Amino acid sequence: MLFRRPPHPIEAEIPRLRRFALALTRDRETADDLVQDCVARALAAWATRRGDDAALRPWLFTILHNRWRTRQQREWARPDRISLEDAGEGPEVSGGQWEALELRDLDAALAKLPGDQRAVLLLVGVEGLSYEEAARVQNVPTGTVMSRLARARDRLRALMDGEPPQASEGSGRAHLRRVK
Amino acid sequence: MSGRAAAAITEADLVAYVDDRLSTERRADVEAHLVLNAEDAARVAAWQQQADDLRAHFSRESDEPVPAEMAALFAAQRPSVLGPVLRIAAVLALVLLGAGAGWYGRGAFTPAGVVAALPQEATRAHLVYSREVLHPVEVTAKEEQHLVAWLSKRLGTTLKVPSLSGQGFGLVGGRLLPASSGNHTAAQFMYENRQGQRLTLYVRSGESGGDTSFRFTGEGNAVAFYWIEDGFGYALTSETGRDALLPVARSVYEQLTR
Repeated sequence: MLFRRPPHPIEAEIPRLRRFALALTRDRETADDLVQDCVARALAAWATRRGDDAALRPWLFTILHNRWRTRQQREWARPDRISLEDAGEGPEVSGGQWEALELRDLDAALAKLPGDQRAVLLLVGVEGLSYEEAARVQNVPTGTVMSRLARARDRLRALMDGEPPQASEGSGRAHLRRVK
Repeated sequence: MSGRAAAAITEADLVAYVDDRLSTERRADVEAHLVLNAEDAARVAAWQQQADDLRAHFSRESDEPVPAEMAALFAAQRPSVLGPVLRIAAVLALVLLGAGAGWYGRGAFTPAGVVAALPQEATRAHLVYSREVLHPVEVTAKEEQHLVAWLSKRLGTTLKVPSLSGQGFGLVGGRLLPASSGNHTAAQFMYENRQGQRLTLYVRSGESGGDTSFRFTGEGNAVAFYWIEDGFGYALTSETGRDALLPVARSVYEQLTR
């Protein structure tokens, strides 16, 4: 009788974990490092895990999110390094034309959102998590998930339309650019 | 809108509308609101377009192959995760063997007192190995002939491996185990269904109590059906509860006692 062992359930989630990590970090190497960390922890906790198959994805996302948070805190504690988000988005561009052109690109627009907003867009809009599940992953109330979604969508819309971005929840800095 | 008074539409309603998480009723309320409110309608339309774009954008990202070092985590899992469990199992087995050998001399006869009850020994083995992810068995079903010949030789009988495909279970493989009875060897065959549920058939030699009928034991979900025939003890164990295991156990019993 031939019966192939199916791959570990976590293995099938790796592509999703990688893109969630990428949405959080915006850097492939950092993202994969995060996924590596997440998977190792998930495997170590596997034997004691409670919950059915449907709960697997939110569980993994939560581990990954927690690892990201921990790393961010560590990063912030180091005076010689600041996170990309705090550092801003590279050289300031002047005027609206160039920016408008650049920001029509969805990827560039996403890059200007804070990690938590990119994450919630992905978790709810792409991965199909419920608001409650996304709230558990991000460790915030459900209402915050919904307002965060509204902020993220409005900001992304403004960026895609080439409008100056507005200050947004959780971004840690205000975007006060003068409207011409 | 119908005669029912609708609660004011909030931003959360608009968010949930775009994500399609509203009740049919509330959805209708939002749609009615959007007809009258151009600003919100434009906002929602932009959000919807954006959601489609994001899905397309992110779906491209998930096609990449898994890096080798991530895949390696699964291969390296056994020592880091189940190492301690296996060590405990090994120590337990040694303690049992030691007690038997030390107390009763060279183990020339089978002392009834230290022989662990068949279903308990089977269940213990089931709980240890059915949780194994990468190495649930020593020899896989790919080498079924070798597996059966090997375990038959070690147990001193001709083992038959029942087919449970009719119950949706495929053979994963089997392993040799220490036992507290007979020549201290037991065989475990593991089966798995498409939902990943596992059951194990445990066979050990040297049962001294005489044949028994088909019996059941268990607490909660960890259950076992067992019987003794011609000096061999058989136990089918799972964590699926009695009712789910019964038809499978009946099939095993019929195939093995036929």
